[in-house]
Amino acid sequence: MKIPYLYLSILSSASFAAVLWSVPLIAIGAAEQYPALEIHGFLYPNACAANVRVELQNSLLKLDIKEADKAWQIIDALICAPRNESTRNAVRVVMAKRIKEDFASTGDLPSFEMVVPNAQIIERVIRDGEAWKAQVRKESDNVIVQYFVDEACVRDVTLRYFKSKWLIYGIGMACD
Amino acid sequence: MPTPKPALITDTKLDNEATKDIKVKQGRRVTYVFKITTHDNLKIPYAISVNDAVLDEFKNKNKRMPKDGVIIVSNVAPGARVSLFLNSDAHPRYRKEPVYTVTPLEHDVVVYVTEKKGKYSDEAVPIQSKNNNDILVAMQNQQAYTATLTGDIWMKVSHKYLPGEIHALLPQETSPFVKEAVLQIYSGLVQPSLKITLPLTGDGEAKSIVVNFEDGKNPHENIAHGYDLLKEGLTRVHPAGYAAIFSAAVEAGVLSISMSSAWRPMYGSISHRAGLGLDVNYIGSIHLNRQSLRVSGGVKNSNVSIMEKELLNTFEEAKEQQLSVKRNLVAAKHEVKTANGDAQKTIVAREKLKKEEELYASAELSRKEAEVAWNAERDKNEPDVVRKFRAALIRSKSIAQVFDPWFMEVDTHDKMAATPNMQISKNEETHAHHLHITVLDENIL
Repeated sequence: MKIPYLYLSILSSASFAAVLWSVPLIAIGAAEQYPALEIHGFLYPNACAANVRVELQNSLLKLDIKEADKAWQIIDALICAPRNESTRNAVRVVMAKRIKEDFASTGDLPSFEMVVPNAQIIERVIRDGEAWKAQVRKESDNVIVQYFVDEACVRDVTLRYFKSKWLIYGIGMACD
Repeated sequence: MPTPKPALITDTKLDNEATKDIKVKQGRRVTYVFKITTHDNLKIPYAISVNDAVLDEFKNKNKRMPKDGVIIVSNVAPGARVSLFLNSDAHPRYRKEPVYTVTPLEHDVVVYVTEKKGKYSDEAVPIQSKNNNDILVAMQNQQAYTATLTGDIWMKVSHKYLPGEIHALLPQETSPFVKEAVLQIYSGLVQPSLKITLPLTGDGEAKSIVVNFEDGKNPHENIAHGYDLLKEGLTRVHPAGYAAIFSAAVEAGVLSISMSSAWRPMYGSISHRAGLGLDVNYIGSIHLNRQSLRVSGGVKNSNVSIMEKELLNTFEEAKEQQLSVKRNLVAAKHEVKTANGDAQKTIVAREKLKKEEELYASAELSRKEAEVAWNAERDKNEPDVVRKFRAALIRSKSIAQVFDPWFMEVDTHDKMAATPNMQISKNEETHAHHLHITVLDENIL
């Protein structure tokens, strides 16, 4: 059962800061909603469990990137914020105008395309706690957050620091 | 999505008395809109049938659903029945289970099909939508229908191979005893294991390979009626997949195999849903798992040494260093270009460039050495039997892909070598803990 987020009603705008302010409580709800996931004999706690979130945040801070706190706000919200209009609006403003979407599932050759972010894409990147084994890494100018969404599928989101702010430049999915 | 045609158009015709407008009926249009909730780009194989006859363009080959999930059937005569064949049932020789049949009459039709997790008894029959909130549909004079894609419907549209089909689907070079073992799967196993009896060796020794099949949660959680691993799960996998794995086991000298996943309906890639994917997690006593390369506390085994983790770390640092130096090199080149004939500036810029070139060469050498060292340590700990098993699978004509915790072979028929599984990319990460094969059947995928 989700925790009622009374404070969301006082959000005056869809600003990212407002959404992020709500995340610590949200994280508890999301982790309760989705228990640990077993992947081939190893049990991964939900990515929004308090200690797991801290570990992920620490991993990000070690990456030596600009304004890591702002990158973290986006990542944390993507994974743990509730699926509601405030979160959608907040994600919308950090989407680049065109993003790369790539796929690499078994049975198909890897592929990618450039797409204009739409409502469906925003729904996909908001996980509302449905994420496990989340990890971050730096590749060139990008920060990539990657996580399992079930036992067989992994998604990622690519962030890039551009003109003094972090934006989402790519999303992807691979499934076995 | 293209703009829909109106169901009726106005045309002008002459009659005996005067010129007047009469309405001429156009063919109807049926639009299927699939929403696959468990995958963003599943590309389900499909074929279209009208009045029980498959359209010409699908006679010899199915198509793959586009990413937006929209399938359009144009110019359908009013009153004609439109159906789809999906998934492995869209193979030109199968096509036994038409689904989502609609009969447009006065209006064009749009059918919204939504994949639904859980156990349901829904039929693959569209229901006329009572919800007229879809203004777009209403304005375009289309009749809306809804339907679900459940685990039961996935099972229905996944071809179940029968004993009589098996022989023709196996490569000619398959050994008789492998063929016999594969046939047992489709003839009805009584337990989730199989014994492959090998021919007597030269010294008269009798050997056999024991194959164990693990049952997955996914089919049980999403199929309400009639699922059973032995009768309905294993038999939905292409027999050439089993044949390739059994043959590879023989070649590698493996005496037992554990298969962790076969056909499954409601998550993951199209290869498993279409019965072309098979996963192996043990060959003999070797656990095909290298999660501990990246996960502290992951499955511990001798596949990953402490030294390998250190060497991988060194390799990745060297890659990062090379990248960093490359940025400086690019900047130094730019400075030389923009010196604009200023002699002093040019001298300084060229000196800097020379230094950066030397640093880059050194960084590149370090990266190469680190890569060689990691490869060597990884290969040293890779069991020889795994190497032989993979090589046999990659050589198999009926296998399109082989992914495992050591190497990734995305296309066995191209000339590119398999690449090391570094457990970085998404696809690499999903294969850190088992070996996957995709069967090649161009009539399905």
